[in-house]
Amino acid sequence: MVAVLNQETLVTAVTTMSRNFSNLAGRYLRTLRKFATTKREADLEQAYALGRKAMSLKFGVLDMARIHQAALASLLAKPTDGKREKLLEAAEVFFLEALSPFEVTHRGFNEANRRLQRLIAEKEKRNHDLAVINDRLTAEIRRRKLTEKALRQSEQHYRRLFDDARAMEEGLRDLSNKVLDVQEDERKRISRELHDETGQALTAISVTLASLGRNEQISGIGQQRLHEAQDLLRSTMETIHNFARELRPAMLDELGLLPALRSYLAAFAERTGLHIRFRANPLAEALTANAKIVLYRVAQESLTNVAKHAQAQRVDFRIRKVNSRISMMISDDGKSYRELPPEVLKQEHRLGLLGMQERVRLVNGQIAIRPRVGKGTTINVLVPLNGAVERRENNLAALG
Amino acid sequence: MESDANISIGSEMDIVAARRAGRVLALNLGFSGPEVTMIATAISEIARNIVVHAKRGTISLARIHNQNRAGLRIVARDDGPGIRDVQQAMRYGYSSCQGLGVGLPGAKWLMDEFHIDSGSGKGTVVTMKKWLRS
Repeated sequence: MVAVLNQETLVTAVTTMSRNFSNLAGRYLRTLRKFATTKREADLEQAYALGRKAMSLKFGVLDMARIHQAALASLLAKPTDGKREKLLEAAEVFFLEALSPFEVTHRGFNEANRRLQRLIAEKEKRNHDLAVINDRLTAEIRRRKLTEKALRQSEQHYRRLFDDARAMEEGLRDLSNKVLDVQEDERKRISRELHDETGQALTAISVTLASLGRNEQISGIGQQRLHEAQDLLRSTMETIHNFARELRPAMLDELGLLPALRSYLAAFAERTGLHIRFRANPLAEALTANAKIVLYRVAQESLTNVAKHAQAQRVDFRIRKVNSRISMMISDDGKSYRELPPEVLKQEHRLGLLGMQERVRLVNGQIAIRPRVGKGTTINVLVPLNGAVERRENNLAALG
Repeated sequence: MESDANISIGSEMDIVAARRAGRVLALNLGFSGPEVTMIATAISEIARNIVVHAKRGTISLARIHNQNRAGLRIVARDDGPGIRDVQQAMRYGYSSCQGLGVGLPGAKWLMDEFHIDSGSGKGTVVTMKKWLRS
């Protein structure tokens, strides 16, 4: 169906084309004949118009040549009365005129073509430039990707290192926690041993010696030896008692932090001649057992340092409640460790400070040691009153 | 430089007259047959341009010389509405009313030199030259 239609359309087109061709050829012949006799410019312009008409009907130069050839043959077929030369001359001018629209178009195409070539050349140059830029961009992207990859790898590397370090720190903290626990237990055991076993034994010896002293059979020199032994025993008992308390005051477990501290401070003041002022909020007894031990140990360490190095006169000892925490503040009026000669500030001292810091950290507390030149040192310890676990989490969250 | 012919243009007849004058002068100067045809066609186009767009105008023809060649100069002048966009008017295929769009660019391609001076409301002057081949 479609094929038939197309066939018909084609036939119609061909028919129209050939009708146009005959019309054009007829007009061409008539105008040329007229021009050959009159030589009028107006007929030449008609030739030009015919050329344009042919172009608009899609005829080409070859069609024009056929039309011209046919017209010329037709004119030459008739007798020309010796005007053959003139006829040929006129036909040439007429033909040129009819072809000139084609010439114009041809030249126009040439110019358009030249312009197109220029445009294409420009486009090619631009394409080339773009390709160069593209190559550069590709190289740049590749370089950046490599850099990015390297950065990512190094970030992962450092993150791993950081994680490892954190795990290691965690492990170390667990370990020191255990060490401290074990140490406390050991001290408690030795202290009890000293107090219960050795103390009892020494008391028994003391009773025996006293009963011996009442024996009249023992002569003067024997009595004297006996007294010396009793003196030695008394001072040994005192030393052991102090030592046991130093190791682990039974009072801390039995009566609480404040009585234990008070007793310790009194003994310390008597032994060293320091004036110690002690003020405390009873709420401190609400602290966990671990926190109490930490405060007690920090107090011991601090006072030992003061007695060893500070050449202080007075110590102010204060325990307060600050929000939901207990603060223990120890201030002395001696020399701060900053004023000490370096040889005094030995590893032992540093270890003592480090030990205090570690102990405080284990109960989620904070410690600040503020040496002030000419005004002694203030140590401030803060430990949470309750919810130690909760606080620890808060601290972690705050650290980010 | 003196003009050899001044033709006032106002009708189809004047176009033919201008072509005739141009053809005669070109033949006298020694242009070849095809060249004469091209000159006549170029005159035809600019003359038709005057008739269609400006109604009236003039075409002047003159022999010209440079150092070593003789030539023909055609000047078309009108006081019509002028051409608003000369560049567009000179583009191939552009035509304000004729189907083929030969017009001014066609005349340019047929001649050796072509210059147009125009603008909206200032009329149009077209100067064209064709040189004899030595």
